[in-house]
Amino acid sequence: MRKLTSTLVAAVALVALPHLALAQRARSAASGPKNEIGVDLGAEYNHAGSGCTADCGGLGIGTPIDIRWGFMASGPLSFEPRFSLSYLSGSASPIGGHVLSFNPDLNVIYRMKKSTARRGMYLTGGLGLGIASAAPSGGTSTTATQLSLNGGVGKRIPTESNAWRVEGFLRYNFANTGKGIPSSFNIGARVGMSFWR
Amino acid sequence: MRKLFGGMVLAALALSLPAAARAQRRAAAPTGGAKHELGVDVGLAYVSSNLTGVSGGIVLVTPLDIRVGFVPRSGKIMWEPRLTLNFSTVGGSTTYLFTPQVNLLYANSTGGHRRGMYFTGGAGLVLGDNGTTSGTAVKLEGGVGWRKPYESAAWRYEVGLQWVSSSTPLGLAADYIAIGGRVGISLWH
Repeated sequence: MRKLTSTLVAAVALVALPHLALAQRARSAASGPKNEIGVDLGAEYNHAGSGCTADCGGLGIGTPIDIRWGFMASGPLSFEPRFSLSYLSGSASPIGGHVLSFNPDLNVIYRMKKSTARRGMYLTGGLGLGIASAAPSGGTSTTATQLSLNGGVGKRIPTESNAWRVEGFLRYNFANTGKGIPSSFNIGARVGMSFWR
Repeated sequence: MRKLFGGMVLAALALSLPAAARAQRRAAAPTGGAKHELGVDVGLAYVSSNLTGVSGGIVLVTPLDIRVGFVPRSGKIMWEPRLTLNFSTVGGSTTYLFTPQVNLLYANSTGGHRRGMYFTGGAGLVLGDNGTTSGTAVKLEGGVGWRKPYESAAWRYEVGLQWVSSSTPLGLAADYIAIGGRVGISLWH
């Protein structure tokens, strides 16, 4: 029950916070861009914790890892939803039925003293969900959700009208013992480009 | 051997075209206009596999790939490399899927490369390793799309057809025909 409640709270927070961000955006919309949009190349070391019995570490590199859609704010704090989605069914699915992977995440970005929303260092922390659902051909569907927390430090480096963004991060993925998913942590970096509109 | 040469020609093409596009870009820079169109999309497609005993299915993915278009100073043709990479050593085995491709966009409207309709065709490679075997397949695609300005950016809609050659080691990542579309946002710099 506690797990269900915490998942519900996390889901509600994920749904509600972009609206708060939108409210902030409305105030700051009078001048300047409203959104920071970006994609990245990511590299991370992954290590599974509890429940892992085999080879538990490894490296992952990928692009695009997710879509970042930040809501600009006049203050030092801003919200940045991040998400990725993959749905494969039928012949496109490796198991015949379907495979769904949806990873919404909501990060708070705090820009450091001398930084602006377009340049300089920032701190970030966020909450995310990893939702996976799979069903073999003709079989029943199994769904599992994994909660994660992440934190990092990054820097925006202006280039013409855009900026390069470099971020080092640490993520902890909570175990879902009911579904046999062990806890794990990732440590890595993401490098990408940000655009404003 | 023919397949190998075909693959090599495509790889050479994929490597040389961005350089040609960069050459165009250098000429375009002094105008002060945008040099690149960058974008990401959500893609939805019906995939019909040619593998025996495998039926068709739906694929829905975001972000689908990264698009980096080289905006020319003038002319209706624009080159646009697209890329995805997924590399992992988790669990002790190395797996990857790397799909570089180059598309040509032909602007079919007075809006040039900022708004309106365009036609596109492209070629690429699917390079993969599932941890035990690795393979390469060739990818060809064509479609029609539209850019719709949205403040300083633009929404971009595209529908098209994609064919991927057979490669047994790649499994479901090869030997299929897909029909579908992609919707995303384009930003310029």
